[in-house]
Amino acid sequence: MSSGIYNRFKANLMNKVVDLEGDTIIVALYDNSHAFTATDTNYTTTNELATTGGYTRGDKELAGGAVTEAATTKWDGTDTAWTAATFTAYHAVIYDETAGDDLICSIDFGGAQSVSSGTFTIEWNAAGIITLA
Amino acid sequence: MKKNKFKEKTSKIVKGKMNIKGKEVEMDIAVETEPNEVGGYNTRIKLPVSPMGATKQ
Repeated sequence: MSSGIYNRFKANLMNKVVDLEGDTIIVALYDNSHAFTATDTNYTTTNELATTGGYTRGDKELAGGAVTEAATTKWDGTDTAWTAATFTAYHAVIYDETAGDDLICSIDFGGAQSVSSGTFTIEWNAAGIITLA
Repeated sequence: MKKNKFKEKTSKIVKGKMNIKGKEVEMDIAVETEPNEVGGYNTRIKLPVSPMGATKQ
């Protein structure tokens, strides 16, 4: 299943609904039954990892969210990590809790990615999580 | 101590997919794993450059 930006996020940008620096942005992890569908609108626990093994549903806030204005404007954040973790994840979904749990984007991990009694880290690229050019 | 799946740090490239204008294209994702001191292993997923550039949608 692929990565992508949800239509709801595009609309929220234009309607001044989201503040990527000020809102509470959550990173959630999903299993292999999750599928990106651009028309989905709100966060759901369906296919999300269960609250166990160092993972808690709807709990992991994206820290350090920052928008950098440029010809290619980017939105970036601090790498997201789960400690004392034992789980397998296939996707991450980012959503805006402040904006009523509206979806932002879904990220495909390219298959099963596991951690055992350790730290599971998503390293956002320095070029940003999302860019607009 | 638990049996560790990884004896040393490993790194691999996996193929993820992203949706661009309704088409799925591949993207490279680096995945690093390393054993830790409690007998488990840590995993780090390095996402590629701006995998979801909005203007590419």
